[in-house]
Amino acid sequence: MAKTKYDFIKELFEDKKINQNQRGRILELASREISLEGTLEERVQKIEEILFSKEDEEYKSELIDTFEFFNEKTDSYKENRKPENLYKHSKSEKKHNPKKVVEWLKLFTLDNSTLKYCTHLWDEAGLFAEYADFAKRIDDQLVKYRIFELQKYNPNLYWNKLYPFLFQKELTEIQKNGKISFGWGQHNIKLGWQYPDVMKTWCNEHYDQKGKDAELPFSMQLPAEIRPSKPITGKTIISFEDVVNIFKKEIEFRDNDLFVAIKGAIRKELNEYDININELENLKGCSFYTNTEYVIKAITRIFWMIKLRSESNRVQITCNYSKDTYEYDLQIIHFNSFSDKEFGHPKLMLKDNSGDLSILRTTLQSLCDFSITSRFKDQNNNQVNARIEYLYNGVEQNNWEPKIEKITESIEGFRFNLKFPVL
Amino acid sequence: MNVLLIHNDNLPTILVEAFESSVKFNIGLSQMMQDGFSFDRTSHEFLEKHITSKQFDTIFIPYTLSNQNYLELSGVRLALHIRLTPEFRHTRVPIVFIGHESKEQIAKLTEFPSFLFTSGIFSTDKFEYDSYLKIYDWLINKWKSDGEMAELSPQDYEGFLNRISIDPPSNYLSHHSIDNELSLLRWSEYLKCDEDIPEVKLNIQTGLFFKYKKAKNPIQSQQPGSLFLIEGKAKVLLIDDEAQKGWEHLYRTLFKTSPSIDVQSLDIDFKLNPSSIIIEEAVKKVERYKPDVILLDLRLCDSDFYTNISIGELTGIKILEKAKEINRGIQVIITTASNKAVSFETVFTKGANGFILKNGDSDANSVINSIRYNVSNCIKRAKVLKTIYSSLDLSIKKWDAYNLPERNNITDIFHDKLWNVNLKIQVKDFLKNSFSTLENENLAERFTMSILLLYRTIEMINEYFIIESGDFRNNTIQYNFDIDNSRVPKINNNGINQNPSIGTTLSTKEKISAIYYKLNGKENQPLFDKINRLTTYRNKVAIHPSKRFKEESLEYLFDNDFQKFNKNLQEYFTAVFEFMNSLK
Amino acid sequence: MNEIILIEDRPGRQKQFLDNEQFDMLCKKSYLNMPQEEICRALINEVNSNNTSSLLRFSLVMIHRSSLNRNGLKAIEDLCNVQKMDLILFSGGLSQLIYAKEKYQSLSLNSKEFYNNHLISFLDKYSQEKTTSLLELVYQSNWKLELLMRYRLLNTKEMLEKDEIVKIILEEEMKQIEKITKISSDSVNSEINKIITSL
Repeated sequence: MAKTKYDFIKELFEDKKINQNQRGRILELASREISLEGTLEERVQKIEEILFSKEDEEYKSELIDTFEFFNEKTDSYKENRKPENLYKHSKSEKKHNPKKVVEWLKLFTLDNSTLKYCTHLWDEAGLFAEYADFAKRIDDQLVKYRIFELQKYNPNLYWNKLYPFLFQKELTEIQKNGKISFGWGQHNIKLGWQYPDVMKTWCNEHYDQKGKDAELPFSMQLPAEIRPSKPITGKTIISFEDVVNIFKKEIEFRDNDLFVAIKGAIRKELNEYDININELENLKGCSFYTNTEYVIKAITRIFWMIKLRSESNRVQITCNYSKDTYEYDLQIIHFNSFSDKEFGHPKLMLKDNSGDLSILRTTLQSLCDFSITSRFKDQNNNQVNARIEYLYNGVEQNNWEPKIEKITESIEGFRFNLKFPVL
Repeated sequence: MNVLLIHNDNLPTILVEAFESSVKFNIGLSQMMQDGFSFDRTSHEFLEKHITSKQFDTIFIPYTLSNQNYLELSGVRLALHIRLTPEFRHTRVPIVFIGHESKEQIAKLTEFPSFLFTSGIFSTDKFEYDSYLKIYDWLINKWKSDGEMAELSPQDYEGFLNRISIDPPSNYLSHHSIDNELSLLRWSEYLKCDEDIPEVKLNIQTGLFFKYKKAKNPIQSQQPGSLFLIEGKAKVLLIDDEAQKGWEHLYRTLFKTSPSIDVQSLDIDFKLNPSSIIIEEAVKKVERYKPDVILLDLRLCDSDFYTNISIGELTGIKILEKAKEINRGIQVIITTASNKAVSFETVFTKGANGFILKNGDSDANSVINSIRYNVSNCIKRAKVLKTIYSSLDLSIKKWDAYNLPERNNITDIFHDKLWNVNLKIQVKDFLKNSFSTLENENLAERFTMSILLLYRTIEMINEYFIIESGDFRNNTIQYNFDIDNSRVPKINNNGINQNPSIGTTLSTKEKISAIYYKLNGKENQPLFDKINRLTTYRNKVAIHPSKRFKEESLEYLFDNDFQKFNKNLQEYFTAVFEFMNSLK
Repeated sequence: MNEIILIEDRPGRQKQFLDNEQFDMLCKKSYLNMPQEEICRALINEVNSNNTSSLLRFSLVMIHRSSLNRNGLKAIEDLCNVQKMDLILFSGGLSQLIYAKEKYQSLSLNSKEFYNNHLISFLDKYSQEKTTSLLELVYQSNWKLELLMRYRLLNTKEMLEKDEIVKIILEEEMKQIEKITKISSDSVNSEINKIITSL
């Protein structure tokens, strides 16, 4: 059979002298070629064929990561060729470190940092002479603090929140193709600091080089085409300050935010359940940095999991701050509901990366340490109380294996434990 | 439904979303804390942005737009802005207030109760969109009779204006400030310079009270072609605690057609300085700048507003007095916003030369013309009087310091040993009176009368220095100097005759020339010529006024050839001063 | 005891609105600091130069708005934000009363409304209870009417709200008001009508 272009590409990949960068370029070329033929599914299969035929695990994982760059909807080819983005090609660099994520998010309050002024009023004279100055400094911060690495920790937080709001300057390829439109956050906000260039244009007219007569960016009124058509959480969004406030809510629970969100989820999912309202009050005032959307997503999933068990309808939700460990300990307890599964059960051990617990692990990656506590069965079919940790310090080194710890104290039911660090 | 809903997220979301056109009005804490913040200005700018470009049939607005103070009832104030601002193009559109309360209840709580009961103001306590559709349908189709537009008629609008009452902001400075600001607004709009005065454009024009006053008493525009020309250059000093607020700009605009008028203002922080400092600084400025005209506000600092203050204690009056001490020729026009306890007569008694009342309801056209007329006249007077006064002042100082020798020969019954003392006093008095006569606009032929008084001074000096004996009728007249009895020479164009024969008469000019020559040892032909011209005027025009010489009179020249008038007058006075200054 | 400072750079204004007896009473209040003349001016200059250290010990700052320049306003805003200090800004030129409550209470009003006959009783109350609403200065005993009217509108909004999150937020706001006024949605109408009728 005559060699096809696929064979040709395969051979190239097999040549170990080719370096990472070259592989990336080959694959890009390949994608252009392949994209002209067949359905999407056929194209994906072709690429998989090329990539997964090799047995060299390390090499394979590199290819898989490169492959992922076709799958990540927010990737752009140009973006990924940048030095700071090359790390992205490595799936093995998925990380769990909630403290690290909080460190990044706390940059938004760090005095004298440009990032602070992405979410706080420009309240000092002479901060930035003009918009270009500010934009350059944001980009510098991206590199200085290696914020791009956040995607290894919590991709959604980076790609769906921070990146489009702060750093994105142009549409990604997929966005250019119209497959998805630009937007960030739960409410798909259409405006960031650097894209589209609404803010740049506005600053040019109202801020740049105007000294103390400058109007501040937060006061910019949103153009009609960018303004959300409906109120968000009861607020009509009209100014850039409103947009910034939405972003802040994406990355931090403050005051009653957690309480309101959880109560909302309860009303939606556990309306008929017996939940002590007074206890819920302790959710008020819990303030910490995190991917708030994903936390609520996870909690909602936990509620779904609870609903699947009909043993009892009594649930307790608490969130307490520990001064010793500097963390908020959010616990959701489904009383009188016990797992009673064997430790080795695939759904508990997340062997095939499926099931609710697996999704929870992915959702909460690098946001909090996550564990469940319940009654299980050991290999001898004896009932054993235990805690299973899914996200913990060192989980990557442990190959993402859940950690089982038998406990002696009595168990009231099935407990979900989320620990959010506060630095 | 072509309507607009104004809200602040304080209405049900489902209702807000149902409206095709809705805008959010919110004043955040950071906005409140901005320098120059004013609710009226913010409202004005908001409405300008959102309701000017499109025409709505009805506007819905809740009674309050605050989420933290329901009793703010800012919706009512915003609605008044809509009613009172023609530029927004919705002055006659029906407005429907939204709230659980009835109009009667809100009337007890708002500062604009009567507004709620004017034509075109409705209210609803419903929050379902369907109700609004019904309201709209009623307004468009049933509110007015067939054929009438669903809006306020001109009579309705007039009724609205007559019914409402809007108080001025309760400013500490009370009426002064209101009239001040109203005048600034009206006059600057009349002169079409309002856009250039930030205070007017941003604050006054956007103020609800001023909109109300304007609606009740519309401002006309200046007629094109109004010129304001003066001859020569002039300097105008503005002393007004509101100069930086816009008055300086207004006067500059007013004088723009006269580029030779220079305007300056006293640049001092009036609010922070006491009266004594303000006066001190004003004096320094007058001495430095030497203005022709001062536009002077009477009340310049807080203490000027104490209820029991007498007119003499007002800072403006004190500055008036000081300015006149520096040079009585400087013309001072008093400008004031309040006429309480201040009357024209009082102010003129203190020396003012003009009076402008900043009245918020004034007819801008007549006021502006009056200002022009006043200032123009004052400039003219200053040109005449300033120089003369300076020289007069100097001459009087020199005369005071002059040791007039005692008269040796006293041969008539009119004089005695103290003649020298009397002469010193009399000459001074006559000079001062001569100047006062010039100033006195109420006197007919004041210039000529002034010259007569002026001339008398040199006659008196002549009589003192020169002894006249004999009789000109029988050719025995002769003249000797009292100092040493020597003969008085005759000095004229033919030269100096040291020993004129007995019977030779000497004219006043020749006597003056002789005295000058005696004391200074030389001639001064230019001075002698000036004295000659003065004498000619005095003899020909002043003493014998007749129709033949009318056109040579100073009065005639003042009206018909000001330049010549001023030149002649200055010369006459200068001649006398020069002579007096030469006495040793 | 909560300490209060009144920074008035135009003593003539005080004389305009307060009689001698009222002024003397104010001077005698141990919780109230009223710097005069040079001290007042020096303090204002400090604030306008971004130095608010002299104000740290107060719970409530009341200051003539026009005496503050841009820097001064900013400095006061920062101070109140950080220290959670309540603020009253008064001025002759302000035509509309505005109240805001975020991290701190802020009331902006006309001098005449500020120097009203209830100023002293309000200050007495505030010095004892920091939670006193600044609106009590303006509305006195009727300030609860404000709460009730606001509560009623919140209730309407909550009843018609479809978004669960917004409903919860509104409920929480209503709970705050219920705690203070002991009102319920059943009785609020009659309570409001009663108060307004008595006005």
